[in-house]
Amino acid sequence: MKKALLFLFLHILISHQIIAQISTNQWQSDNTLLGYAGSIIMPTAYLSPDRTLNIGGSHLPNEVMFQNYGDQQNKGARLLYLNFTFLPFMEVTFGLNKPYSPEFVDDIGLGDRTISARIQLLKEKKNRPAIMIGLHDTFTKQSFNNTNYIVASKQIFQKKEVAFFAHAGYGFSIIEAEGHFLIGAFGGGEVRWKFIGATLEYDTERINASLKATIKNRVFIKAALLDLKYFSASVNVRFGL
Amino acid sequence: MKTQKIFLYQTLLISAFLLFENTVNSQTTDKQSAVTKSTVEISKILIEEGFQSVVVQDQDSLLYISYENRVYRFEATAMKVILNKINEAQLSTIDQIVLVPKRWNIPVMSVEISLKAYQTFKNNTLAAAEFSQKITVRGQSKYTKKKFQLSQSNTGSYRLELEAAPQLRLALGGYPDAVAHQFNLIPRANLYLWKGAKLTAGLILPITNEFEVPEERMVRPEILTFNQYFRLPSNIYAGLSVGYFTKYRYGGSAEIGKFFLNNNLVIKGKIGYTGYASYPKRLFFDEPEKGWQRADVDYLDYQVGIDYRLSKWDVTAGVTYGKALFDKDVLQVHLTRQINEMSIQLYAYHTNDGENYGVQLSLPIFPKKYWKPKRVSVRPARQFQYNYNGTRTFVSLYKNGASINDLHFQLNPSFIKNQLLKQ
Repeated sequence: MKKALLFLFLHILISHQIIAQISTNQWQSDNTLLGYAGSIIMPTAYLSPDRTLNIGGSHLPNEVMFQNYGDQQNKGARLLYLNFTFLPFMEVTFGLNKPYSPEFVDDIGLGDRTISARIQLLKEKKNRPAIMIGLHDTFTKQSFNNTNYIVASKQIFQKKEVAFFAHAGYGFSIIEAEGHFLIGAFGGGEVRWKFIGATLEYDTERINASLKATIKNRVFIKAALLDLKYFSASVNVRFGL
Repeated sequence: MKTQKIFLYQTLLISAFLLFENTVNSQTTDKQSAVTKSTVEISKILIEEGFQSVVVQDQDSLLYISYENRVYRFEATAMKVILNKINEAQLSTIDQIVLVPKRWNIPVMSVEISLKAYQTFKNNTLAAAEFSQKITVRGQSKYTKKKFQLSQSNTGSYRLELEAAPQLRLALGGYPDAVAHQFNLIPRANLYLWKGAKLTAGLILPITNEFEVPEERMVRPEILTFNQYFRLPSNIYAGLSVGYFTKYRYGGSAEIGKFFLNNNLVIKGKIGYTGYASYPKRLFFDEPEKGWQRADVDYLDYQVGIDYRLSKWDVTAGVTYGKALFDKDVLQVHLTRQINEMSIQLYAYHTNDGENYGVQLSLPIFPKKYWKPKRVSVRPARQFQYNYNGTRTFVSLYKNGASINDLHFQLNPSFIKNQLLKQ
């Protein structure tokens, strides 16, 4: 039944041309392992073009799960997300952090659900970075994974098809939560050439690195080393609505 | 309690007067209506296409067309079809076209458009920005007045429409089943009566149900209502509904809305006086049915709200305050993005029992064009709607078969203009 409903949903989406072609060739942003637009864990001040739907999933290693499921033996988690650019300057992300361990199902049910909302306060201009504020898992009843931040992003170099971007931000807590992340100063840089890119970032706790590639601006694949040793990866498919 | 009853009687009296006035006016004739050979031909073309309550008049180089669309899923598509048909008819004397779409035979808005500009835009020789200058959309204009609604052909009144709507509900995060679902099919009958009036009857047929609510495993009535809506002067809309509503309520409700800023701003209010009633029935099983249950009509609910539409992005921001069922005072805010035929609404509300937030997704259902409407027509519902709530603080609001929002569905003037500017 669930498969039939999923099929129905996809049928409605695809067969009635709700999904349009991506209207831009920009690759200014892609999505983090946690679903919101950014680098690896670190958010950036960029977001996908207006009316873009990103559907993706990532593998989070046991050591860096962004969720505490108690004393039970963890085996890592997968994170599934929907990210939508609701307005040209605003995006929302719905995430589901779901551990691999089957024994968790009885104890935690579906997994941890998060909602993230981000608003771009300033667009990037020649002499000015883009500025964005974000609230992650701030509105949920029990927040296991909260941060609130302001971040700036700027393309600081471009020659032919090579571009370099720099990002810096500061995360803080405004609510009492079961768990926080990205609290303090964070930052990083990205270099892109044609359809591939490399990132190095500091996410307030770890230094992370990634390699990423896009297929026709539709599919985004990322492989990352969190804390420069724990493997993580994500796949994201982008649709223009 | 006395005050509530007096209020209800007052509402019923006013509604009865408006109904009488509305019916009488719709029967008068206007000798000035211009009907020529070309208007008769255009009228035939539109009726052949399936449009109802068609009025076609011409005056010098202006062609006036009023219609009700129950054949295309999307109102903007219906408008483009009409413009293309007029284009194909090659009427050299016509320069300007006025389209007035109606719902339940009530004119909702008007589009004035240069036929020549439309032709050049379609041929890609006119830029969208320039074409935009040649379109005038209005929520209220002289063309939405009664005198333009005479001599209708292929009436949409006294027509029965049978539709089927899928309904999906999910309960996420429960134990032991983390995803419990309920899938219902709702066959619904809409009988369109005179101007602004309709009867609606719906039945909930459970297809699969994992919810542990015994009644929800049974076949039960969804709705059985009579609705009468009016367009009043000064761009005010009002409506009255009586009967059996959703959420197991029966009684009466009244609604009023005043539109400003070319329908981009609306101030609205709604009041209802209802009681509990249910009639779940188990079909094809020997177990005893639960039968008819009813309580007195004794509960007053109300809502007042304001919606503002940012036409640039087809986004509506709104605030509503009111009293929902079960003594819940509710303050709700929403942000709704309309993207062609789908819409995504982000909402949050505060009640005296806690807060909640969520998202509502509305997706169009196949097909884009329905069978040509006849005296009885069959089609699926236009949209599939799904709500995701962040917490378990629910607000119970019933639906009564029609609303001012339904009356304006897909017919906001700026939305229509944005759609016409797309190739």
